[in-house]
Amino acid sequence: MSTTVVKPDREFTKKISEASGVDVSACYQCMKCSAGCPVAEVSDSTPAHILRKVLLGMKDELMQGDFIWLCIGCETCKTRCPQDISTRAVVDALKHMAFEENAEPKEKNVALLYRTFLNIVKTRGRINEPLLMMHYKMGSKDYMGDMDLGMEMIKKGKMGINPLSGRIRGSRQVREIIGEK
Amino acid sequence: MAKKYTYYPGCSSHTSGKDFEESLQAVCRHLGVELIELPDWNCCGASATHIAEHEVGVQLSLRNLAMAEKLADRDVVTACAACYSHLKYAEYAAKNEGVKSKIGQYDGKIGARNLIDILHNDVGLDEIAANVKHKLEGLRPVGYYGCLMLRPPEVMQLDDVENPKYMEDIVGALGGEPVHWSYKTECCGASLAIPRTDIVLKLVGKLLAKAEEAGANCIVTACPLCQLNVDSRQKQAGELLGKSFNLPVYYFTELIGIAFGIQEYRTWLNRHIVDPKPLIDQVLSAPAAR
Repeated sequence: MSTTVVKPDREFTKKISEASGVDVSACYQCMKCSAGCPVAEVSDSTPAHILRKVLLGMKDELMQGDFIWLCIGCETCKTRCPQDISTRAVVDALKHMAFEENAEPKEKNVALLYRTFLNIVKTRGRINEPLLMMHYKMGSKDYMGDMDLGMEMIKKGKMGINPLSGRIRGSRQVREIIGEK
Repeated sequence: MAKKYTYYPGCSSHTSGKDFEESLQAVCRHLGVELIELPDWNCCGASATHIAEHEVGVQLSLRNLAMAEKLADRDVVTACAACYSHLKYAEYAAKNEGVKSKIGQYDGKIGARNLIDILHNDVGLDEIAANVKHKLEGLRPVGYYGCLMLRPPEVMQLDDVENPKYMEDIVGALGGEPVHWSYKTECCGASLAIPRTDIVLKLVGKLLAKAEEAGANCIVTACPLCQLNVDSRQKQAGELLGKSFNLPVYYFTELIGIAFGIQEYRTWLNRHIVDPKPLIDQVLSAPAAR
């Protein structure tokens, strides 16, 4: 078995702890979070591992992994943690860092969806679902995916067909809140 | 006493959550619950707020709370779980962490409430039962709450976080037979349905298998994304497991509307992917229902 020597990046740990408001050293690895996490099985990490990696300042591993993108923010971890740690908050801080630093996301389409969504809300103040799907498909190049489902939903009135509707008067205020990025 | 609330519909109300919106409006009208839409409301940000700074998600909802507080001395009601989650987080930040709204002013005089809370607690089960024209006998749903609307409990302040009962109570009041199971609050995969459908199919498949195992003939839900995932991905999830599921996924408001005898219910049900009408026809034609 090969050994990896970890050189902790303490600055990184501090940055993430401040951004998330979480003291990652409080985790004693009871694994309650990981037992309840819906994506732990399909990802390269568990919530408990994420906290340890942050504590050890393993930035590259975290930025290049898939957990930070697959975490859906269900907060099962925080709800069950005996130390009241929100791994979701830690993961969000990591997601934000990855986004700010333009790091190449392991889960490109997940990052694309969030970016696309936020851009639409920034310009219109509300989401427009057909516009979201159009932009997402153009970005992911998955034009035919879910075509059947999409058509069925349009037929049943569950998918709007007007990509221009729904801009609010206060859209500039919303842009102010989200910021220029 | 007249029940009047400010209403925050959320972005999916006219599209993927249309059946939810239509059914809740009809049910509220029937019960004399007045919902006044908040003018110029903005998107709560939903899953996308996760890539922005935490403050962004909070501020997006503080704008809505500030506008609602200025509009009237009434709580803001929403039915969408994600919207509710964001509004409650914003309310919590303002009331407990001294966060101020960047747009407008929010002093914490009003708060956010979930529609199921309004129906279960403000209207009450007795009133709901009193309005039932057709008992839903033979309807055996499992209650599927999903993850966002209950967690974390100190912020969401809604029902029991590990073993909620609001939907089961309501189904009971409607004459149905709620089925208890251990998967009430398991995540469906939410927005991963688009970029990582495989994960959602896995999670939804597990939910469906467990619902069937528990003896349910349908599922009742209170979150529009959960409904969309468990309904629209049911066939694919079944294929992955080599099974064929037939578990219609109803919104609790649809069930209330059907039991109340609101005729438009067929419009709502026609929007589903897994055909929810045969089970309802069966339930409504049962002798006890008349």
